[in-house]
Amino acid sequence: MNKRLIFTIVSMIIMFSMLASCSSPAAPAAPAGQPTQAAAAAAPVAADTAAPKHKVTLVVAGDGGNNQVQWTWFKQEMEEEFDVNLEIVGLSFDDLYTKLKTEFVAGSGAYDIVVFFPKHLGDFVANGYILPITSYLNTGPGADMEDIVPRFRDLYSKVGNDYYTLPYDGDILALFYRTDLFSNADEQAAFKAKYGYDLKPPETWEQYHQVAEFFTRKKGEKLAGQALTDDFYGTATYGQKDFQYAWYLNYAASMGVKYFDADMKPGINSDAAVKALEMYKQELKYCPPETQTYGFDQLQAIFLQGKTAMEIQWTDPGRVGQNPQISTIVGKIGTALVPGTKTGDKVFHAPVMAAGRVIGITKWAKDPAKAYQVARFMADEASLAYVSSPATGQDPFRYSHYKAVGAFEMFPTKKDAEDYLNGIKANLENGFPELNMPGTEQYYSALAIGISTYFSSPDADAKKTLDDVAKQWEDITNTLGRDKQKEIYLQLNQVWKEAGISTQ
Amino acid sequence: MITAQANKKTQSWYDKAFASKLMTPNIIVIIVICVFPLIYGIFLSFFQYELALPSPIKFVGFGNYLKVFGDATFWSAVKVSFISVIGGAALQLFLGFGAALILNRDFRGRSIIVAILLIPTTLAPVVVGFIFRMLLDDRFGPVNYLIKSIGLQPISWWGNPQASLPGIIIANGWEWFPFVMLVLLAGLQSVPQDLIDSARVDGASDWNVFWKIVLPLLKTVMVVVVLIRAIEDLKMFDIILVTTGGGPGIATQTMNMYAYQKGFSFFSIGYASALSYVQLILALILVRFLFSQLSKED
Repeated sequence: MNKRLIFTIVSMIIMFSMLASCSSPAAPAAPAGQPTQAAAAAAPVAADTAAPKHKVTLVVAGDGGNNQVQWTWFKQEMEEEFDVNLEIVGLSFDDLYTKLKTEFVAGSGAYDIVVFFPKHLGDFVANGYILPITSYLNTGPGADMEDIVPRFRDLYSKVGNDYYTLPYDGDILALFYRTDLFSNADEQAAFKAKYGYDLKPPETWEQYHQVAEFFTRKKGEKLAGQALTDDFYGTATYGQKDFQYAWYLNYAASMGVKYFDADMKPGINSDAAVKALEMYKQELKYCPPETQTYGFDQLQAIFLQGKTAMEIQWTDPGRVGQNPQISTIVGKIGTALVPGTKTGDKVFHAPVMAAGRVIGITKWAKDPAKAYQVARFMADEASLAYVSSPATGQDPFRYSHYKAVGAFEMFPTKKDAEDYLNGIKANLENGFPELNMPGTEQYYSALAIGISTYFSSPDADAKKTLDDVAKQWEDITNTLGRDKQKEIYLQLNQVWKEAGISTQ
Repeated sequence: MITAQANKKTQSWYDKAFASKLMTPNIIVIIVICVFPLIYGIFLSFFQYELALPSPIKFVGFGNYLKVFGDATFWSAVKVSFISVIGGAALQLFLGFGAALILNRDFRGRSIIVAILLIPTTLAPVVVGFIFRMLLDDRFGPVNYLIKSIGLQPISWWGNPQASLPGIIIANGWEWFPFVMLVLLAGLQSVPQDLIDSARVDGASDWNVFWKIVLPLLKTVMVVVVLIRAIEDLKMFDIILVTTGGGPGIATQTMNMYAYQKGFSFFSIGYASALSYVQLILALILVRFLFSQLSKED
């Protein structure tokens, strides 16, 4: 009997402890010592001299590491100024969308403020996960929206007539090149003799290939008068599936390729799209053989180690490349516009605004007004500090950032800083947007897999590859609902047109 | 006597009732955590349930399953999964059996060598993935350095579709061959020494002893360990995610990864559920085949 009693008690303890751990997700647990907002509201109002008012805790989620470190710099200041507690949650870069979407779908209310990639803005807005902030911008302290580069402001913060996010990271692809090689007299003479024009940062894709071909040399050959101890490459490209589509779209968008037409028919397999893909594949001849495995780190490293003459990358190499501990080309990096396509007398550039980050306020925010204040602070007052720091991964997005040359102390001279800032500004002002609508992940995944498969197969046909991608895009559109997708895409197009982008 | 019998029956019934009461909480937990999600997953697979847009859930019957069977990417994933299972089993069996044969004798330092050989199995698959991502890196990996130093062309392990799946099989094989080694070592040590001694007395060579006595006696153990590894290799995810992410293209995308992508990147819940259950059926077919090898032996 005693044995049975003991077994019964132990079983009940185990059962209750398991049930207790399955608490309701709808009511997020308050941090220790902090009551929930409901409990605080229910507590009797005490005199001012009694126990201090409980502050609301706002949970900020975004990809962690050097993309989030600046929140810790300003945490105390914001907590004091806005009378809040801030809890910073770092998520993985690769899983950011999955983690956020999972919480949103579950309605857990885990996050008040979210930092995310703008390509998911359409999905989050269509599903009502984040709140419009237009009223806050109009009635409260603004976020100096006129100071933000219009392409970034309008393409990545606005849906329809409403603003939903504030900018946080002005990612843009830019062309980086070795100023020492381009200014070398011998190299200039040899280039002019071979191609008939002066050696300079390429303006068109044809020139880009010619410059890359010119600088691709084997070990033992001479480069700027010195014998090479290893193979040297004209350029390198991004190879991993997550963002390779952006390097392709640099070509395609400059050739006039549209995502869809007015009837949601994919434009990704047009003649221009096929030509762009074939031309992109030609670039691989001038890249390191392993370029198809490159992600962000490897692509940056190969250039900063002095193994390539140029590369198209996010803006980081220009800043990070000034650190002698990781760069062998300090003071030798030039920044230019991503090449474009000549149409008539003009060259049309379309550097892709790949990735980027924006700050949004979720519909579960415990205090949306205070959440807006925090977001505004980070997007405005705090922004210069983190976009000019080598410790973060964030990039300038305000005109005031580009003018604050002195803040970018990592450059050897002010002129170097100015050239860099003007270079990335020019790219952002010409920026081509990523899709940001429901299904973006699916559309881009189909495109990325198509490109990767085409590149890794010597006999693959570009037209067939893109026809397959277009078919998958049609399936995605039909599965999600053609009418709804068309309505969202046309709304997106309107914003793009107002920003000066021709997409149809 | 009748009273004693009746008392015994009552006591037995009471014991069973009490045991049932004690088991009830556990059964409830298992139903909630295991059985309910299993049934709910099957239920969802009959619906078009897309979370990319706030569209209503639509009953499509077997529509998702028909879509799976017509999905070329799925069949590519099936091929990749089965190649990785068969290749993985072969490699792990070869390395594990070899190591077990060597360790099936007493020698100085044997226990230290066993402990060292077990290290890979103690590592998390994600860590193994990172190790091999660096080891087989095209430019900086030591493996390509060694290959280049003997005058051969370096291999683009993670960039070449023909090399990336073997790279993953090697990484996975390295991690799990010690488990196969342990199981087969236990099997070898249970082979009766008398049989071997008798065979030797009759003039059998080492090879004959191995082929005609040891191997037949070990066949059941081998089938069981291959079965266990096959089921685990079908579920392989971490190593692939860390090394190739399923690429280049879809060269290393397994059924697992494809279902994960559909469910957690694209949030096509209905379709991902159907993919998972088709994968389950294929896994059961494989298990059934391997079990049939066991009963053949019996």
